[in-house]
Amino acid sequence: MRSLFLLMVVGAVVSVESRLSAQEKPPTESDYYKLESYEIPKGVNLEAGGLHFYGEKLAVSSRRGDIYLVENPLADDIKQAKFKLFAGGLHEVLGLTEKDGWLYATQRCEVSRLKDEDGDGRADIVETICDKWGITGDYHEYAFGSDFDKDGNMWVVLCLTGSFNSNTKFRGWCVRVGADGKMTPTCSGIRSPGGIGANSVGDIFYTDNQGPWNGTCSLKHLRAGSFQGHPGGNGWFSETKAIGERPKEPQSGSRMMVEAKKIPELEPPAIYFPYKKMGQSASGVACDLSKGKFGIFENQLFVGDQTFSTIMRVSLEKVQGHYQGACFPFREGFGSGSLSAEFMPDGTLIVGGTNRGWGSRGSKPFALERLRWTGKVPFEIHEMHAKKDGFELTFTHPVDPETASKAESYKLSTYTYIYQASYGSPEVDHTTPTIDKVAVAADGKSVRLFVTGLQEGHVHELHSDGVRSNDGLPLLHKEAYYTLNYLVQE
Amino acid sequence: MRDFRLLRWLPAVAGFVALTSVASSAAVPQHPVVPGVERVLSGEDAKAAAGRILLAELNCVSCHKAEGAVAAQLKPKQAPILDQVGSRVQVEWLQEYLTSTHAAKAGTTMPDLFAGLSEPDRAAKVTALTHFLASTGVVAQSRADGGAVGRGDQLYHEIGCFACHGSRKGDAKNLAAVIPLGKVEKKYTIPSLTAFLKDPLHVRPSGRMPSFNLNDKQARDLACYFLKDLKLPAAVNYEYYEVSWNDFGDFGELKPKTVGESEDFGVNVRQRNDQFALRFTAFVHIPKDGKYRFHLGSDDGSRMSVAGKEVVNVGGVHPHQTKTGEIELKMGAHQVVVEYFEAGGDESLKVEIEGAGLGRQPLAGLCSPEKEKAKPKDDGKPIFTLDEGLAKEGRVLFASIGCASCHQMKAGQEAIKSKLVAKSLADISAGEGGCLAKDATKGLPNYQLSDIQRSQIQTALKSVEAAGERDPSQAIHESMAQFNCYACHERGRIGGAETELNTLFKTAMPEMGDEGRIPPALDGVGDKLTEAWFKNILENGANDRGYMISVMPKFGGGNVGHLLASFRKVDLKTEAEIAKSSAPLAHQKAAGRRLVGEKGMGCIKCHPFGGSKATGIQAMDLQIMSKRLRQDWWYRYMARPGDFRPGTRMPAPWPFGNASVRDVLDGNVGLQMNAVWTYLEDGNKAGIPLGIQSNAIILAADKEPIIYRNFIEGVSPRGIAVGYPELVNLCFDAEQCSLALVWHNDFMDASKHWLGRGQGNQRPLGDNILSLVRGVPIAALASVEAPWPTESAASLGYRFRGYRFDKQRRPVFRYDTKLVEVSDEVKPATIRKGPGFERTLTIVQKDPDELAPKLWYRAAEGSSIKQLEGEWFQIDERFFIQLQSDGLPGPIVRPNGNRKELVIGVDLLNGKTKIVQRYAW
Repeated sequence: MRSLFLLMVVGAVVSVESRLSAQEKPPTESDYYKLESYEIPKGVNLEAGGLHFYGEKLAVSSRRGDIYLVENPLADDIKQAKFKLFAGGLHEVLGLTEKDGWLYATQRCEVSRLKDEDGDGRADIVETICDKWGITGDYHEYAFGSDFDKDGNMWVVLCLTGSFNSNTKFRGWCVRVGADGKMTPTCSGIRSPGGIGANSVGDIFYTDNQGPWNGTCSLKHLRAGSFQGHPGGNGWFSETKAIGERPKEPQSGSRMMVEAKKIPELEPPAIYFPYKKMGQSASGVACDLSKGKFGIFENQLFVGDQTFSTIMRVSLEKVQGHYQGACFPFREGFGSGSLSAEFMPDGTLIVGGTNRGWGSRGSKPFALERLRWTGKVPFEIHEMHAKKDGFELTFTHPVDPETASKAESYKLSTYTYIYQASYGSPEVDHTTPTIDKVAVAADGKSVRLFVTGLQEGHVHELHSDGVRSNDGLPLLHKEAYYTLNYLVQE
Repeated sequence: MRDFRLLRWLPAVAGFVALTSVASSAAVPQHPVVPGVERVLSGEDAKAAAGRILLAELNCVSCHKAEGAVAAQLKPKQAPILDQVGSRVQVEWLQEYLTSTHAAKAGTTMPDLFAGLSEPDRAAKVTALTHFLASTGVVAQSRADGGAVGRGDQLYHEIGCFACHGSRKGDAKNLAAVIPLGKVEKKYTIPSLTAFLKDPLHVRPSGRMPSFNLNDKQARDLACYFLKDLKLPAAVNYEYYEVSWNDFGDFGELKPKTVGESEDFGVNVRQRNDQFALRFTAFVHIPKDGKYRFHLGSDDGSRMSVAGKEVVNVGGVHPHQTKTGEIELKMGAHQVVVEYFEAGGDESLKVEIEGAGLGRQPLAGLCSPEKEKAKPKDDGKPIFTLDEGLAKEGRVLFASIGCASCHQMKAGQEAIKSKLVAKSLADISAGEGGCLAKDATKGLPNYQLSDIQRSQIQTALKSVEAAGERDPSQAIHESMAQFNCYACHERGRIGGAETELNTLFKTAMPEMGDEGRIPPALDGVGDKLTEAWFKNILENGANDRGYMISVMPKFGGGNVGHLLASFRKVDLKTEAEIAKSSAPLAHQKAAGRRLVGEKGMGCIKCHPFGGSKATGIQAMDLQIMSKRLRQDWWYRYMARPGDFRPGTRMPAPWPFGNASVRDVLDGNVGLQMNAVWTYLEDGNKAGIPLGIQSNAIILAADKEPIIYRNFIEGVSPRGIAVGYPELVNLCFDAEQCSLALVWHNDFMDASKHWLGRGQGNQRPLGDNILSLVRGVPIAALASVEAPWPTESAASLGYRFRGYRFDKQRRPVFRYDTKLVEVSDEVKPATIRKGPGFERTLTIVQKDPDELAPKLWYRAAEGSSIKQLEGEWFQIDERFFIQLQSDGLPGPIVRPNGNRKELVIGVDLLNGKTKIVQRYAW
């Protein structure tokens, strides 16, 4: 009895404190996730393009073609981290992973594997595994490589030539590469990737960027055999039978879901990141598999934005067999343009940055940073699910039933993008659905929005400014953007 | 019908002209001004030369024909072409200039053709000629803007206009040797003066007014400066709307953002470039009854109505498009409404009127904002209305009184022929009476010559027959006076910037002193410049001295091209001592590049190299040196710069014949000079001198080799460049599994790829870049005669396997074919006494039991392959190769079309073989 009473008192004190601090100064992102910068040695230009936890060390590859191994990357004191050159002279490495003790690097021109055989800390062998895709000498022909999947394949997304055309083999494709070097063309329709990564069940996603056939930046599911939307590289169906026949040409000026109904291979973006609202240049993809070491967002995806120098958060679900879901702002203030993102086993998220060639809010030319959970859980929409008649929001803390149950606490609007050959798209076809009813669950952890006027194929932009937590706090991020490609049919 | 209003107005003009000429007579010359003559040929001893120039400049020989050798000496100056003078010059000016030629334009070389005529007779002739000249077009009008006036002022006083026309600053003195500009604002409008300044040679092919190669903006800036006081009255009312239309909507539903008056129907009153609309209202003052055509052009849509009727409609969104409508109008004021909208992109609007005696011209010129303002132009002058009858009369006069003797005037395809016949030049050698008479003679041209000029011409006329062919030195002198070259350039201590104008010559590099500011003296210029470069300057002008603000204008080859031969005859010398270099050209160039760069003599501290700026001042560009300068002159100049350009800041690179850089070519001055010249001869293809690129990211091997995988010039995009501490470098092509390039000295500048996004191929930083045989290195051939395969390595079954580092951390490249595994090891070595490579290919059969077809290794390819002693071969006089193997057959030189190949057998009898190849270049 006594101990229970004591606990209740402590709980009450905490609660009062958080109410007080909420009135004085609202909490910020850094109260929940602490951002620290690694001290990069002088003279080292670490435009970090690939990250991998490699034998207790952090392997970091750079756009200048170096690979550094960072010792003590997870020490409490970030100054304990020591950088040592593992390999140099490679060609713009934008992906690192490992298999059987080898470090695999996705270079612009090939997938290679490297090994230090004599134990002096430097690679003694750089072995070409696969160089079966073409490069023309155009800087835009980037290649991003994933980790190995459960079948033993790396997934590599190949940017178009000049980000518009496909002037050599398999530009604008995703290919799978086995450890034996076998290359299997897997998806067409890629434009200009910014990162690649798997979700919690091993499905592979990549980010593509606003441009031709891409109204805004997005996160796309690389379903094998799918067409990802930009037809520029589809000429290479003549070179492979791996995923069947060339899909029908999309009609420029149409809408994604109109075309998706005509072109079965066309996989609509799982998540649109509305331009200049969420970011302008989507990049690295990392999934939190740390079982709670990074906080409450286990199994969710964390996606970088190079221009905004941010990490965004994504919750996905499958509707009609396709991934879709919502994105939320998560953490801003990275030192350079966020490019690569990778979770360490202890739940630390490492983010590498560069702003060469494309500007960023973070003004440093390059950066290597880590983001760690402070142990406090922010008040956020945890997940957003589509329902036949609206949405279900789950929260990280119980909501205040009074504010959360009012329809006026929410503002919902929709729009989509023109699916077109010319560059980007404004938001078009705006609608304002009505929130007819709001129901708060008994435990306060979820809310049902009953909505008239859901729009298939539209981003549903939700602002929950009026909602308070049980402790009286507003949401740390009030905006959520749900990409409703497919309606829930039940 | 004669226009009585014009006649009535004439005496007023004449009176005004008389007044001004009296008031300013002290300052303004009364005689024709030929500045070069005034300045450098005014002496007693130069009388004949001065007279000869006057005979040409006053165009005497256009009427008084010269013959034979004399004709060659006295090339007439072609007078302005008058084909479309009506569209260039204001009609009122034509009238004034013809009425009182010398008063209207002081210093003019055009004679007054109506001397001694009665006032009414003169007026009648002038009016007829004016109508004829005006019948060739109508001038466009537009207003100067403030910014342009300021820029024009600066241009005038910087690029060199002032050298001939004097300073126009408030405290400027009137100089004798300056060409007065006259009343430019009366003669021209901004559009017509802009067109003239852009290409003066077009209407004045004589080149006395050279072209400064101005761009449109500069020409307009200058025109605005000259005509800065031009005041145009408002002609129209406008309403400006901001609206997003793709076709006309209802103006009535909109509220204008601004309203006001403007001098024309134009889009310059807009406040943004897209999504706006304009509505203009005005009254057009129609001078007489008749049919009028209205031309309406716009981007995007426009429409116009006159007197309540829609006349033209150019609606919709489109690029600039013009349509024409016609309407019959009575004399008097009629309301005009022009409506216009712009959706996106470019915007333009042009409204013109034509017909019933009016040439096609901007409508605004005939408009006023209100009906009451009867006179559209506020200068009190009536509207000029062309009279066809008078124009015809004028045309007859143009031929009969001699205008056509000097001026080209095309009516249709044919130029009007002069009907004036004068005595031949030989017949007037006495130089008495006629045009030279002291008092103007009725019916003869009056040049208003000064006594000195009269005497100069007389002297010339007397001596011209006897003069014969001029000494080239004298020919240069006279031409420089004639074209006023002396206004800027000194030669033989004559001419150069006048003291009063000296300070107007400016420089962008003040630390260069006068050398960077004052146009160069022309002593020895025929020795200095290459023929092609000199010719181009005479024909097109020059702008080689980026630090000098004044510009060498274009005089035109037809006018001054003949000077090239004279300059060369007088100046040319061939007396430099040029040493003999035996080193290969590529090695000399490498040494020259080193000498020019920061580790050598540091020429790059002051001389830029193409797009790369020098680290200090920006003197002459190194890339043009060998094209611009004669080699012989360059050697002599390099030995003693101060002898050629007294006071120059250019230090002697080899002071007192000694080399300051001792570790290049053993400090041998002759060899170093050859090296630098040989290097410079590559012009813009020469390797960039080291130390000039401030943003360079220099990669260099320190204790161990350094690798750079990126886009390398001359290799596939899969290049792997390796720099070795021994200062030899290579680039392996992973796509072809071939050794593609080798070079000496510096390795690589990564700035192209590591700054910005990294587009483009990087040329290796070092010297003596040697491109080796392209294509796969090993192939199966059906016979020793079979051609080498040209397919890609991948399609021939090659697979690049990467590289392994040896103990010195040199990469050993590995690749497979279907049959063999290859280890390709390239090491720096001293080969034939210089830095080179030794390459060892270890070739192992994958399956030793397989019966493999005969394989060959191709070591080199070229147009010539010479076999030397000890298994050495020389390829194309470029490089040397030694080829050895532990198998059979040994090296074979075989034909490949017109070319040769060096191949050697890959002997797999023991399942494995080694081939060693050494490279020296």
